[in-house]
Amino acid sequence: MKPSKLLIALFLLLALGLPWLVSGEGYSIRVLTLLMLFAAMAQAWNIVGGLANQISLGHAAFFGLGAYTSTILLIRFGLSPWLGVFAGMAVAACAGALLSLPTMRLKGHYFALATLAFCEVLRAIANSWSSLTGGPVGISVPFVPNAGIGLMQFNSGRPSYYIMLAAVVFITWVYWRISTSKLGYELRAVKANVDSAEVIGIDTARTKMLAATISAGLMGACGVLYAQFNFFFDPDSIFSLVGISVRVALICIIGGIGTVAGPIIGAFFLLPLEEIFNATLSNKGAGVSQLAYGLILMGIILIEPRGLQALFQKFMNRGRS
Amino acid sequence: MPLLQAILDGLMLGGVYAVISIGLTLVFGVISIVNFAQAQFLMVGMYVAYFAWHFLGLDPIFGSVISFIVVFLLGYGVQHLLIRRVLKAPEVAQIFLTVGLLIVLENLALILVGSEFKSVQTWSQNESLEFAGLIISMPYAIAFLASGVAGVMVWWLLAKTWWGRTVRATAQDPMAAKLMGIDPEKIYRMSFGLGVALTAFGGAVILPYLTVSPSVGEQFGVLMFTVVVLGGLGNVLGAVVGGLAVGVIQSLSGLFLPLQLQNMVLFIVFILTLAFRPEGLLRNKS
Amino acid sequence: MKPPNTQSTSQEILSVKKLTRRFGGLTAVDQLTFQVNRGELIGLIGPNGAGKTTLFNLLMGLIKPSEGDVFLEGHQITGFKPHQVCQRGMVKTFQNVALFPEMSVLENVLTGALQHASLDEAKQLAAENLGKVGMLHISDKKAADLTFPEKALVEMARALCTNPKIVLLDEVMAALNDAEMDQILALIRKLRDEEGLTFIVIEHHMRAIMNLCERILVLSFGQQIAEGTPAQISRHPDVIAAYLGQEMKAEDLA
Repeated sequence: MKPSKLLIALFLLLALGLPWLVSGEGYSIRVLTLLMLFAAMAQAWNIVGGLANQISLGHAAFFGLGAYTSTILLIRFGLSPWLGVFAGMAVAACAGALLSLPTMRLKGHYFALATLAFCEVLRAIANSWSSLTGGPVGISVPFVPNAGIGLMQFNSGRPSYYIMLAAVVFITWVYWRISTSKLGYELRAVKANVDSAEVIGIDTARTKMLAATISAGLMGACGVLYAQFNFFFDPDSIFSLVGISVRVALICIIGGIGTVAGPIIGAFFLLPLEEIFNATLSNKGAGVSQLAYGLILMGIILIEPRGLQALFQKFMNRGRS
Repeated sequence: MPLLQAILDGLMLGGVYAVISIGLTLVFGVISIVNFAQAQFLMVGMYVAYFAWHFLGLDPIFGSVISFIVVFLLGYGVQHLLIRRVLKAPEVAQIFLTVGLLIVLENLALILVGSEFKSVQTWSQNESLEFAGLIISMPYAIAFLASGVAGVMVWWLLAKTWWGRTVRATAQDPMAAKLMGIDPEKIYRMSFGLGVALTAFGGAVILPYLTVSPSVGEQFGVLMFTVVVLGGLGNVLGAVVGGLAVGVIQSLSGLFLPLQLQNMVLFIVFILTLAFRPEGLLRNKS
Repeated sequence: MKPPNTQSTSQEILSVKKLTRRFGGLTAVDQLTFQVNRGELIGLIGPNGAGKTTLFNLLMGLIKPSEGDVFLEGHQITGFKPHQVCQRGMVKTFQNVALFPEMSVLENVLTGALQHASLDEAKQLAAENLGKVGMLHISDKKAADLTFPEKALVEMARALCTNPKIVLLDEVMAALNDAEMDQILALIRKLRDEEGLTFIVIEHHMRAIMNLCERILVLSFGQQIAEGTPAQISRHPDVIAAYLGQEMKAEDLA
C-alpha cells in the first residue's frame, strides 16, 4: 500500500493540528508526544526489521545509549542537548556497527537472541556503574526553569510534541529514501538470498552493517529526545525488553513490517490501546494492563503474523470474492 | 584458597545452571523453536515449590517434584494450544508468541501473587560442608546433587529408553518418524512439557538460596541461553558442560573483575560462540 | 568499485593451480590445474558428484579451498569474498537457480548492475540483458511465479548485468527445449564474438556442449581426467568409462 501524496498531506495536517485539540499541559498531550516518539522508534527499527528482515529484540540498547550519552554530557560538560543528539546518535551508531560484526551470519531466532542479550548486558552495566550512570536509582536531566529552546526544555507540552513529530517525519523520510535507493535493493537481495547477492557483487557484510548502523543511530537520537522530554530515566526502564524493545518491534509488526506507513499505523493503533487498558485496568492492580497487552500480542500473532495491513487486505479480499 | 573456592562455587552453581538449561536445549532440539519464555517457567516452578513449603511445609527438595509435575502439565497444554499453531509460521510469529508468553506469565504471577519477594526457611540454609579448607554451603550442595540426579535421569531417558529413541528420531526427521507410526505432535507435547518442567525443577531446588518474585526469571534468561549456545542448541550433554562452564566463568569473573565488567565477560563468551561456533563447543549432537 | 578496465594484453584470463577442497574425509576437488584464455568457450562435464559445482563455488569464493590458488587476469583471488570476485569480473549462476523470489524479474536483474551503475542505469541495463535472453516480456512478473527455464534465463540476464569478463554457467539450459537451447547457444556465441566474454559452461546436454565448446574439461571424483576438443573427448577412453553406469551412454558422446 503506497501512501499517496494526498494521504501524506492529510496525515501531516492532522498531525500538526492534533496538539491544539487538547490542552497544552497535562496527560493527553503527553500521550500524543509519546505516540509520535514510538512511531519514530518503530520506524528506526523498521530499517533493520523490515528492510533487512532481522528481528531485533534489543533495540532499547541504542535507545538507552543515546539517552545516557546526551544526559551525561549535559550534566558533566553542559553540552546542549541539540548537540547531544549528535553525540547520542554517534555512540549508538558505533554500538550498532560493532554489534553487527559478530551477529552478521545469524538468522531469525539466533539474531533476536543475540540482540536481546546485548541489551541485557548494557542494562546490567548501567545498573552497576553507578559513578557514571547513577546506577539503579536512575539519572535526571537538570531542569532549568525558563531555559528555553537552547536546552530543549519547554514550559508547555506542545513543543516536545512537535520535536517528536519532526523525528517521525525525518526517520520516515530516511526509511523511504533507503527503501527506494540502491541500498534498499541490496538489502532486499541480501534478505532473500545471501549467496546469490554476494555472487552478483553485493558486499553483504557492508550492506547489513550499514543498515544496522543507521537504525541504531536513529534509535539513539530518539533516546536523547526521550531523555529531554521525560527528565528522568533509569536502567530498567530505558533498556527495557518489554517496555521498549518488544514494544517498538511490535508497533512496527502490527502496523505492517517493511512498509513505510507500518510503524505509524502501528503506533496509532497500539498506544491508544495501551492507554485504554491502563485507564480501565490499572485500578484492578499492577500487571493487569500488561497481561492484557501480552494476551493481545499473542492473539494477533496467532491470527495474522504479518500485521494489520495484511489483515486488512485479507479482509478486503474476502469482501471482494 | 580463594581461587579454588571460586572454582568450586562455580561448579556448584554450574550444576544447577545445567539442569535449568537442559530443558531449554531439549525444546529447541526437538521442536526447533527458541522459547523466549523459558525463564518464566523457572519462576513458576519456584512459586509452586514456595507454596508447597508455605502451605504444606514441604522442603523444596520434595516441592521440586511437585513443580516438575505441575509445570509439565502446563507445558503440555501450552504446546498443544499455542506453540503448535506457529510451528509452520514465519519466524517473526514464533519469536513473538513466546515473547508474548513471557509477558503473560510474568504478569499473571504479579497479579496472582504480588510483587513482594518471598523466600523459604529450611534446615539447610545454616549448614555447610567443609573439606580441605574449602566450604560448600548446604543449599548449594543439595541443589547440585538434585540436579545431578535429574540430569542422569534425563540422560537415561533419552539414551536408553524406547521413548527417548522416539524423541530423538522425531527431532531428526519428523517426516520419517511419522512414517514409522510415531505421532510427532505427541512427542512435541511431551518434549515441551519435559523441557519446561526440568527448568521449573531447577528453579525449585535453588529456592533455598534465592528469593522469588515475578521477575526472577529475568536474571536467568540470558544465562540459560548462554549455557545452551555454548553447549550447542539441542545438545543435552552440551548443556551440562555449558552449565558448568558458565558457573565457573561467572564465579571467576566475580573474583577478578569489577562489578561492571562481570556481565560483559559472559556476554562476550556468548556472542563469540554465536558468531564463530554457533553449533556449540562440543562436536557431536545428541 | 570495479577496478579500472585495464585492457590486459595477456591471453590468459583464468588460471587455476592445484585447487583442492576436502570435506572431512571426502576430497571433492583434487589438485585441479588448468587455464582459460580470453574469449574461450569451455565446457565442464563429468558424472554427478564429480565436483563441477564445487569447482564453481571455489572459483567464486563461496567456499574456501583447502589448497591451491585461483588467478583472475593474473591477479591472485584465492580467498576473496564472492562480491570481490564479482567486482573483478567473474560471475556465476546457480544450478537450482537463486533468484530473489519476492522481487520482480526486472528488479532481480537490475541488482546485478548495482555495484557499478546508478539505479536508473541499472534499470536500463537490466532491460537490455533481459531482451538478450528473450525474457523482457515478463519483466514485471514476480520471480517466484516463473517456470524453471524462465528463472534460469533471468538469472543469466542478472549475471550479465554485472558486466563480467568471464561467466560461469551452471546447467542454465537444463530445462530448455531444443529451440530454446539453440537460442541460448547463439546468444553465448554472440556475447563472445561481440563483447569478448569468456564462458565456462556446466551442462549435461551433450549436444549443447559439443556444439558450443571449443575445449572441454572432464571431471570425475574431483579429478581432471581429460581435456581436449569435443572430438577428442568423445573418443577418450577414460571419459567413456566414467560415464558408463550413468544414464549417459557412450553413444551420447559421439
